[in-house]
Amino acid sequence: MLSSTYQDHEFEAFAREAQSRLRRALIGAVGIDHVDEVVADALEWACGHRSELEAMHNPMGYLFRVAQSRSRRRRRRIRLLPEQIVELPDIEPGLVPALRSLPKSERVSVWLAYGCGWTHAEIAVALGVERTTASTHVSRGLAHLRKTLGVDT
Amino acid sequence: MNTLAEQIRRLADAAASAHLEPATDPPQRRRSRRERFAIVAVVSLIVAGGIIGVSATLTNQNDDVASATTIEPPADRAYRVLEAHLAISQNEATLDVGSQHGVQPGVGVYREGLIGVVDETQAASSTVRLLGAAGLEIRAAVTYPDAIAEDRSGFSTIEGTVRTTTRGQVVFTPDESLPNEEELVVGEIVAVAGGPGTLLQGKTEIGIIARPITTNGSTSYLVRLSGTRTDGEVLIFLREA
Repeated sequence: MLSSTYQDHEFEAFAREAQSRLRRALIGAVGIDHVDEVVADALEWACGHRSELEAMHNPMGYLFRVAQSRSRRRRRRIRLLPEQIVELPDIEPGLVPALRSLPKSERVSVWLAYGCGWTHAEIAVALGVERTTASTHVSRGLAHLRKTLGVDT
Repeated sequence: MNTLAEQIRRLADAAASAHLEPATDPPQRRRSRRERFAIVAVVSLIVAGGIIGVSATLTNQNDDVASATTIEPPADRAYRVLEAHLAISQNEATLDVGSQHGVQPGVGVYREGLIGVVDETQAASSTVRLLGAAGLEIRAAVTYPDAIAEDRSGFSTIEGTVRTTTRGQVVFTPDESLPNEEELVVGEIVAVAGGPGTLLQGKTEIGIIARPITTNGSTSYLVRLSGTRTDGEVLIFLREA
């Protein structure tokens, strides 16, 4: 939560942190090609709604929702990595396509939980759902990935 | 192999630290205006006179666009192009040229696009009001395609005013309502007139329209600026006497 005596420099510090955290989180939702655009939109919104953000317990989660709602184009296929990265060591080759094949709510939940370290409560705010629903998305998404990749852990 | 959770974390690390490479192959067709721009470095917070503004940095990825946005003064007037260095600190932007070089208040300062207007001049230096600092107002026009067809040969223009808000946002208010708000996403701002001694003519693109804002029943449009807000070389066009 932002401080109640929240000044310009505090907002600037918050926005800098938000830029990097939101970018990482939103890659799982909108893909790497459009992530910078939607982060910019979210921070533009934040700049004009500072008092509203100040009152929130989880402004980052709310900004995630703002960014998603500002994402105008419907994208059926997203890229999680740029084309120049074709293979990563110690990562199942099928992980990226398996993630992309998940329903969006599960993909985003798994990405936020394991890729970004968000709690289920934070994910719930970001997705605008109950915490138990967010937990279900995470566990189902992980189960689908394990089944697709044929791994146990 | 690590656990699936650990692999997802590593994947997110790689994605978060990756930078997109610009396209190297020339386009096989005329790309839409929306496609011509890619945001590569997006948000920088500017503190100017105690006002925080958010700006986006747009980079052209195609040569045809880069050449299209080259700044050229009108053919019917004589202008002298002055190269200068712009230094931007938290509270002010300063040029290393001033009145002894012929610079006057109101002159536009350009990099990839218009990035500011000279506010005050001294003999060998000038202060610049960056777009994003409150109070700047210029006449401008938005161009928009006549048709949604792939081959967008015709573009129309509606004039209006670009100004900055106290929050540092840049807003375009058209003189008449724009016919198709959806098409505004691909519009351009073309500066057409400015303050005393200003050259803002000549197809100077300063940004794209981000979204409409409705206040008291009238609609304005938030503009996402082009041009970077870091120190660097800039161009100034000085009108010959």
